[in-house]
Amino acid sequence: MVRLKKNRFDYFLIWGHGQGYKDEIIELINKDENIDILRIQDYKAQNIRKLVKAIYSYDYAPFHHLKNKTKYLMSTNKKVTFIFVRNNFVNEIFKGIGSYMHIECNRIVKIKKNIRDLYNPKKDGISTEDHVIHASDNEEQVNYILNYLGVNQGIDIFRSTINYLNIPYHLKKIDVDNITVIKHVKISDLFANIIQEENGVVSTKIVPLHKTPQYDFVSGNVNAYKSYLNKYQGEYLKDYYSIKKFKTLLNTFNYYDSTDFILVESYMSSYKILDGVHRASILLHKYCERTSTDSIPVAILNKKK
Amino acid sequence: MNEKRLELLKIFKEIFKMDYVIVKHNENFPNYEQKSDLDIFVKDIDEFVKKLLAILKLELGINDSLRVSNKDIKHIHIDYICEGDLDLRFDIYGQNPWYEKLNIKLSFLSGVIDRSEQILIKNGKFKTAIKIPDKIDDLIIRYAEYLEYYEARPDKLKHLNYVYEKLELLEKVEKKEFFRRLHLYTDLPKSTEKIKSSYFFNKYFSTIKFYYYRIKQMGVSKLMSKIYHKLIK
Repeated sequence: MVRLKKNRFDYFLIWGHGQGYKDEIIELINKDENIDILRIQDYKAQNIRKLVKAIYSYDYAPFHHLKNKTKYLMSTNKKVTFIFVRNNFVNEIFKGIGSYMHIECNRIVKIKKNIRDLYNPKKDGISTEDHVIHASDNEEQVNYILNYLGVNQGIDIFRSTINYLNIPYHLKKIDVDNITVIKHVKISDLFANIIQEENGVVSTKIVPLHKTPQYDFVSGNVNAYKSYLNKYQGEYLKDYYSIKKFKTLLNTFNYYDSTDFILVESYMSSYKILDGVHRASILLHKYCERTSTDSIPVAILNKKK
Repeated sequence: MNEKRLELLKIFKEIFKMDYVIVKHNENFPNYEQKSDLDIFVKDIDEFVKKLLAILKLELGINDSLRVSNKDIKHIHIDYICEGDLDLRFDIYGQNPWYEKLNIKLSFLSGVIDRSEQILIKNGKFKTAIKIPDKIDDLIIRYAEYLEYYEARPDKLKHLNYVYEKLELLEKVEKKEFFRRLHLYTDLPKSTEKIKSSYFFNKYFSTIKFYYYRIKQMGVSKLMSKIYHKLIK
């Protein structure tokens, strides 16, 4: 029997007491080949009770039933991490009994259980029920949480209009024209946005590609990239980045074997990278090592006039 | 005139497994005239365009470019521009082309792909099978093309001539199948000409005016008598 592939959006939430295992948990979620991590967002709740109530407001059980289940959360760190994903092969099953029966995705349940088994606090060597992670049951919950976090478009933010170019959701605000030009440009002339902090103020800065932390990494300076991620990931950098992920990309990346393009827009007499700084850094380094050419085909996105 | 040409057989070898057909394909394929179109029906336009762009990425010359435009949600043009001039356009449809003079059912495009035939083509070092509509669907597509454009573009008459010639060569059962599919998948569009409201007003106002003056001339009873005699005649 053939099962039709169905996809939907889901989220995971790492509670305060799971923050120490954040990287490992994200890595575990990323390991599932049918899950694409779209957005990682750190959130500091002003009131943990209010956050817990918001998270469980869409639960199938009434909140007073969940009071005992969520009591342990009241004493946890207010800093949590949301991980929004595209679930590319949903496996929906019925869970619960009577009026609490509801549909969940078995794939998400398995990932959640695995993480809980590994990272829930232990008592006498046995895993407790003080769960380090929570996950969505359905897309309505994902939509609600995005709105709660201030993303007014809800899950629509993840729906790309130009699918064949794999334009990341966060570029939708550029309001791309209906025409895209693909042509060769010099990698050494490319620019990129980086995040920086000056006098306590965090802002973005446009720098030549060879001055990015990503290029530092491929040139051998791993610590520069590591500190960059530690400082800005979750709050200013919402895509999924990690040392391990970049290392894997460095070892396996072949631009001409993939269906993706580095996306750019016009900047001064050259181009600024909108998506693909990591890939462009690898290509630039290969060019400097004389193992590839200086020009690569990129997709130039134009803003609507 | 530039010499650069895309190796279409090489490209179609890479996308062989995808669900597509090349419609109205030229018998000179894979050779093509500069600035010509290659019309392609596909089932999954995003996946097809993604794959085709990845292949063209490898073929793209340093001074060449691709221009990708969304004509509609399921209609995309990919223009291969060779040193500033249009070389070839891939005209890709993920749904039936929009015709004004003929309605075509949504299921026609996927039916054409499902019923497609393969022809093996060799050209120099490349040899591959390409997918084209079966002979019946090919005639329907060309007939629709002729109906839609012959007024504006006399060169589209070639499609009608093609249909005539090919129909002659069909077996009786194939001719039957042609008309069966034509009637199954097509329909004439309903008239949408709007009748202006002023038309009715003018028509009835002039009628009222006419009878008003007749009554004034001959009186009501004489007018009624005249109408009566005309009716019984």
